[in-house]
Amino acid sequence: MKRLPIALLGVSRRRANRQIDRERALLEQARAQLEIQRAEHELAIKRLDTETEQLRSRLAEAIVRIRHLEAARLVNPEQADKTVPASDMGLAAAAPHPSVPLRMGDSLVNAGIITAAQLETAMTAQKQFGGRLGDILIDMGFATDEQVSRLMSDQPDKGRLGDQLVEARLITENQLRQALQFQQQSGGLLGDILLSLQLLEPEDLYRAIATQNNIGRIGSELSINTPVRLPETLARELEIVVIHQYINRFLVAISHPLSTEQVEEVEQHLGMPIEQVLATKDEMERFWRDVYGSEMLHESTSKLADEQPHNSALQTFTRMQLGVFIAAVMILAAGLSFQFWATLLTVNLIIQLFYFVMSMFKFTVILVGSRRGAQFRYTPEEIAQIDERELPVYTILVPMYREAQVVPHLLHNLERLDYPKAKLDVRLLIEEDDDEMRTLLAEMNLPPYYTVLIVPDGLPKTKPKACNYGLIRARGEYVVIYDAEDQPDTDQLKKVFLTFKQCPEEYACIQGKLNYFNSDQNLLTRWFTQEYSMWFELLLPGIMQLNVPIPLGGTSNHFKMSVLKELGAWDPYNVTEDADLGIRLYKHGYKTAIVDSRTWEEANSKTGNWIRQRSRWFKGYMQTWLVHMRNPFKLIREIGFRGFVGFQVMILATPLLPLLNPIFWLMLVLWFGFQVGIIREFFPGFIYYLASFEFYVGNFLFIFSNVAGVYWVIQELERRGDRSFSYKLVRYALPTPIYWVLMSIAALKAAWQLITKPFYWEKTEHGLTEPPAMPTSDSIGIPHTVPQPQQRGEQSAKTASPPQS
Amino acid sequence: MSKQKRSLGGYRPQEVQRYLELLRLELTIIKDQLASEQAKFEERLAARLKNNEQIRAELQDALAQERRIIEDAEPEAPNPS
Repeated sequence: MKRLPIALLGVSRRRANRQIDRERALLEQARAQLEIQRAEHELAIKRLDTETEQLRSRLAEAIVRIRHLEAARLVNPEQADKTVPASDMGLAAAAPHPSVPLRMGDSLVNAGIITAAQLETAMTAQKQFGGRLGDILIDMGFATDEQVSRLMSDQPDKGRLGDQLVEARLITENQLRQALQFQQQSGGLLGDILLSLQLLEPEDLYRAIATQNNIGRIGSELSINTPVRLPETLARELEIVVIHQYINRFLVAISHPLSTEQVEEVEQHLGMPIEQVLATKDEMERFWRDVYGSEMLHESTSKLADEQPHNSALQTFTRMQLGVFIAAVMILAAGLSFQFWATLLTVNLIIQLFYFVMSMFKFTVILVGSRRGAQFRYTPEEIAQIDERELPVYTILVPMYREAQVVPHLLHNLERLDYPKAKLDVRLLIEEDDDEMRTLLAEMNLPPYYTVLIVPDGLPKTKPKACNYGLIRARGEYVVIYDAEDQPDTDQLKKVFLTFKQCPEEYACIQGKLNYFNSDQNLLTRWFTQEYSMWFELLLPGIMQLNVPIPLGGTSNHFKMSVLKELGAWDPYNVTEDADLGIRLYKHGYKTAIVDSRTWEEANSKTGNWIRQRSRWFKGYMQTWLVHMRNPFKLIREIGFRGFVGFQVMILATPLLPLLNPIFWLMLVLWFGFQVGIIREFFPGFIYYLASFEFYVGNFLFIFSNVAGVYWVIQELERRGDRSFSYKLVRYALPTPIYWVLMSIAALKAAWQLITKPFYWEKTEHGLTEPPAMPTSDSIGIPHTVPQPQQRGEQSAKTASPPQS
Repeated sequence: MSKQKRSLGGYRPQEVQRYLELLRLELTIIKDQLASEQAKFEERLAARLKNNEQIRAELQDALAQERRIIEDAEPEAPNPS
């Protein structure tokens, strides 16, 4: 805005600004109107250009046909086009089998309404762009609406889909019976079941459904030829995309037939009639990416920041936070200048009190979490009693980046899930620049319930962005994230279904427990296993019991789709989007439960890799803390005092303690190693006793809770007769302090990155360890739907490293 | 503007006036542009529509000619006598 000079006794600024604002608003409105008008003009001209192109091409085709006819007449005046049988033009059914009804095009040729050459022209257009042949013949002026309608009314009844498929010899009667049995047992649509059983190709199924519904199928030409598009919201609501412009109508790709009202609504938007053409799931995904790719990318990166900027980590530090930080540093500097020891002791006291409160709170949480009822548990009998017809469609999001070596394991693990495959919506999220993964997945014959989505390149390049992208067109009622190397318990989805069913409506997330399949690989994986065992077996269940915000784990968190979308899904700028989402769920009054089902992951076995991963986690916790602490008073109002304390213990203490620890370790070394006298000055009276309590009792409790966590898992696995952990794991709890040193290194790295590269995603390398041997697909009754075993083996052998232990 | 309320640290009236005039002028320019672009568009549209109508008519003629050739080539109906 132009800055006007200030003058003594000038026009009141408020009044003048109001007037200026009014004029400026009018100007903006006019500018916007100009932009809209330009876009509308451009679109109208493009539409007409497309029409011109089509008309010209048809005219050229007609002239060619006329020349052929004239040439034929000259050569043999007795033989006209009409006498050329349709079969000679490469068309079937010139002499149809008596039991097979004539196809419409052939009937029109036989009735002398159109010529074989015209039929061929129309069929070429149909093959290319899709649609119903009758509509194309009318559009091309070869037949009238009346002629086609008359013939259509003579067509026999299409019958039921299954019968139609059997009649067309696309499936056998036995296969139909098998699919119907599945349907009776698990519910769902017959088509989905046939596809999930791999009894039918999607193209054949969709053609049959199109015929049954008297609509067309899309053609082989999958590029969009029209600049016309529907508003994204309407297109998303109806699941349709405008793909082609004929002269008299638009072809609209649909996932399922539209109602009359919906057709009218779309036609009103487009200003021309539409013809529905059925597209398979993969074809629709492709159209969506082509037409609405930029909107989808924008939604996956900016939705939360646009709609709820206060919950987005796009801005790392607010001005207020920087102001508070600068003020705190200045107060500290002033204190140190004027009252050096008093200031230092005050700071030390605050830190010691923080350690104390944190240790006590955490241990209380762990005690509460050790109660048997802290997790939702189900017996195999309860799982078996589930009526599979009640199970909803479940979306599984698997974000992957340069992890080709784990793909075979991933597919195998997903295939093992005990859930009707026809009700799965598995979405593999691949980054655009990950050529290896793209090639690998393109070569695989994945089952139809898998969708490979290429996430467009763009910043931020984070897992939550990929998940948001995958979520946009997800079909499930529930949604879960798995990492590529995850091995979820086979009954996990069913257990989550039971938990959601059993819990009150406000439970919007169920967290599965994570643990490691390579716990015994080396010292690092043993410590990591102990930590995870304590975190997921005791700490998180305890948090759930105490009803404080839960920082969710990175994977195996199952959401109600509607709630997740309502909250704006994941924050793509937060590198621990899971922890952040846990807090946002709590802020909105939703609750999280822990289910007694594990997902086995690969523990980081290399120190550098581990530090990278941990630094990302710490940085994410720092981001989360900064986002939700922009207004601490508002946060207290939103989550209550207990929630607030829990938030500090879980989100602040997790990265802060490893940052503070090195200072006190240094003091410890200086005191016990060198008897440096000044150390004594830091711990007078009360502070000494408090610090001693933390040193002896606090450290013991931390180590003890790790032991308890891992012991808990060992015992439970032994009782179940499942895979087992060695009791030897327990003894490695003693040197845990070395693990804490690594944590401090990671925390320092995280703090540095928070300032320099806040959104940078430190990628963790997976596939360093071969997962334990699993039963083969055959032995667990999985159809051979996924990659060729030979290819898989080759891939793994090339990229996987041997275990290091 | 001179009748407007004054304040100790306000804007100079002539500056405000000039700025408002500038804004209004810009608004007028945009409105003119809207009208001129609309007129040009209608011209272009009419030309294209006319062109399309012409091609459409040619196509109709071609299709009619095609139909005529086919019908001419049709063998005559057998004479019942």
